[in-house]
Amino acid sequence: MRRPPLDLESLLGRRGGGNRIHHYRYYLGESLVIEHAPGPTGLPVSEVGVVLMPPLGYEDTCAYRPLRVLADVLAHAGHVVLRIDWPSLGDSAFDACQVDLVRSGTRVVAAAARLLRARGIKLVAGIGVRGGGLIALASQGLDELVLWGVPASGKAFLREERAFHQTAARAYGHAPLETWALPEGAVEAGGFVYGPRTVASLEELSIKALMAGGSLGRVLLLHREGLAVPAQQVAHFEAAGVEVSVSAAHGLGALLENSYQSELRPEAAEAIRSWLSLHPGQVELGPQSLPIFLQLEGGITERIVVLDGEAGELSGILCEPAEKDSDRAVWTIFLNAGGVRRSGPNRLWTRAARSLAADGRPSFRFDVRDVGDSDGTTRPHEDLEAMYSEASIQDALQAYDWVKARGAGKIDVVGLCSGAFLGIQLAKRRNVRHALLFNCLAFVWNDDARASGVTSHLGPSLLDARRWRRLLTGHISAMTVARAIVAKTMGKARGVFERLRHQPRIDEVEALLQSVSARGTRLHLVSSEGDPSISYLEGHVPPEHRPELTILPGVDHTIRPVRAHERVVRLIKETPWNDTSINQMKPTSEFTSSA
Amino acid sequence: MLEEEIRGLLLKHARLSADVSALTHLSDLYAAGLTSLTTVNLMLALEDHFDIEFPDRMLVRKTFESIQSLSEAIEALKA
Repeated sequence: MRRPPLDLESLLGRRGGGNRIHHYRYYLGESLVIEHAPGPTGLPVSEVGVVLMPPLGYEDTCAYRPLRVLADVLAHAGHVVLRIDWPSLGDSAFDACQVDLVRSGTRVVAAAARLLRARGIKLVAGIGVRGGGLIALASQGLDELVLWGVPASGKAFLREERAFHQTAARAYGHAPLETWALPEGAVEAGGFVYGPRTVASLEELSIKALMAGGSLGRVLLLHREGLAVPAQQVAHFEAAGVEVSVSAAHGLGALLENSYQSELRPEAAEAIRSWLSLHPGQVELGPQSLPIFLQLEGGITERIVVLDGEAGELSGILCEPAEKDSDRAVWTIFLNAGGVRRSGPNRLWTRAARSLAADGRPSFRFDVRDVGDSDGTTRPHEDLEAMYSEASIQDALQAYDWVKARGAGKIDVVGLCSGAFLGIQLAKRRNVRHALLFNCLAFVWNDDARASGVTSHLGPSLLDARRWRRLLTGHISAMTVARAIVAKTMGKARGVFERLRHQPRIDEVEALLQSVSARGTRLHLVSSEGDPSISYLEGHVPPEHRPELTILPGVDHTIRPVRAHERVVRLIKETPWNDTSINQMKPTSEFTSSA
Repeated sequence: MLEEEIRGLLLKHARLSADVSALTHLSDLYAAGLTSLTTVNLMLALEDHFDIEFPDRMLVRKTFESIQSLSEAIEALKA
């Protein structure tokens, strides 16, 4: 008899209504940890606890949401799962060049394993993905290990990262004259940096050497997409007396697709779930009392915030300076860039938030529904509509109102791509002092934007078989594409017709920008050189009515490479917190353009 | 022969958006959907299949941009 096809909803127990997974967020040392528990503290759980170690750098950005789903799948199967943010990534402490990621990462893993044992867990299994798997192998305290697409050594991993960066280099364009020099010994890849000490430590790691003194009982090796696990890798584990299982389940490519289309493949989730189910025993989970705040240099504090949103929990981080003048404080809200979690593209929002706090300015970065750690879908974004939805706007409004209730005086917003859309929509409905909007492809989500959006986000991929498959399987609305193409054609025709008739037409986008400006918001647009956001603006707003526009040369849509980051942080900080000229700005329908 | 082997590896590892059989030896593989991430996967598959190792100087976009550039790189490494 043929088995029914696997699907994530079944693995999550959502068919027929299953138990709700409980998420607890806290800091373990200097790392953020998200705990996924099958139920409230005190109930029996599997005797096997799990430490989930994500990949590093750009791959972490892509895999974040699907690994959250994997943690939920395992929690539904009875395991307590601790999903960690590596030091210097996400919302954890440190910058890349401040820390040896391998050394500090192994400390976090060991601490997570100790925490689970202290709460009654008998066996601790690790799941390490790509570079995270190498750190897992170097860590103490793990009894069993799942390794997913893990290279044979740190050197091999760094070589792959260099290749990734160098083959992307042309896409970034030419470097401007003023460039940030990468510290000697550091490696850049995909908008992230591996600092010199991390590189030195990674270069010492190899499965062969790590296995020589290891204490693992079992290991599950998952194939890299289309590439079998090398026999030599299996031999290293077997020589160390480790029981080896190999799974050919596909899914690594889908996990690392990109930040808004990555997904967890059910076959990979099931391979891991069933391998972990060897030990059926249960234990009673003891409580934990770990802090929900992180103390950073200079008295800066970051605090985990969970808002009760319309679609479930909305997860965020409040970053506060040592001292703030609550009456005059200008707060900044950072908005999700597409499917990228709250730490922002290339972790820029985390970096900027801490930099603002060093200047005495608080900020809030958070995830709208379906993104990062907020509740919502287990699937990738079905189409562009989800990122530009009224639901996302409502979540942003809720975050704004929370910040205001917390004592914010004036509020700035920062967003990129769909985050820029959320930013302008916030400024339309609430009082925003300064909206700094990067690479905005649509200020208004209408048929015209669908046309621009489809051609901008999916444009090069209109011949992409995978995306068309998503269309044909209902993941992308066929109507969306059809409406978009029709709208684009009609829009062009209408534009030509109106130009011929010399009839001025007030564009919906232009009207929105004018109304936001009239509310007293200073609009500052930033576009990467050659980004479609420039032609979008040019197509909708005449030069004399365009807001201030800054062009970033040699930078891609998500602000890579790293040399551009310092400039971006300066742009975010450039409006002084006590800038009275901005605070007293008169409503106006005129724009000045520096473009 | 070499070109056919490369086509087979492209089909299996490169996650291209275009039909591999429709690509000419000069077609731009990046325009056909090759990404930096899938380039790395393809690089490992080529190394495994042809028992070669691309030196650092070859780990650039130019090496992977067409079937012809890949053929030339592989022939140079096997010579």
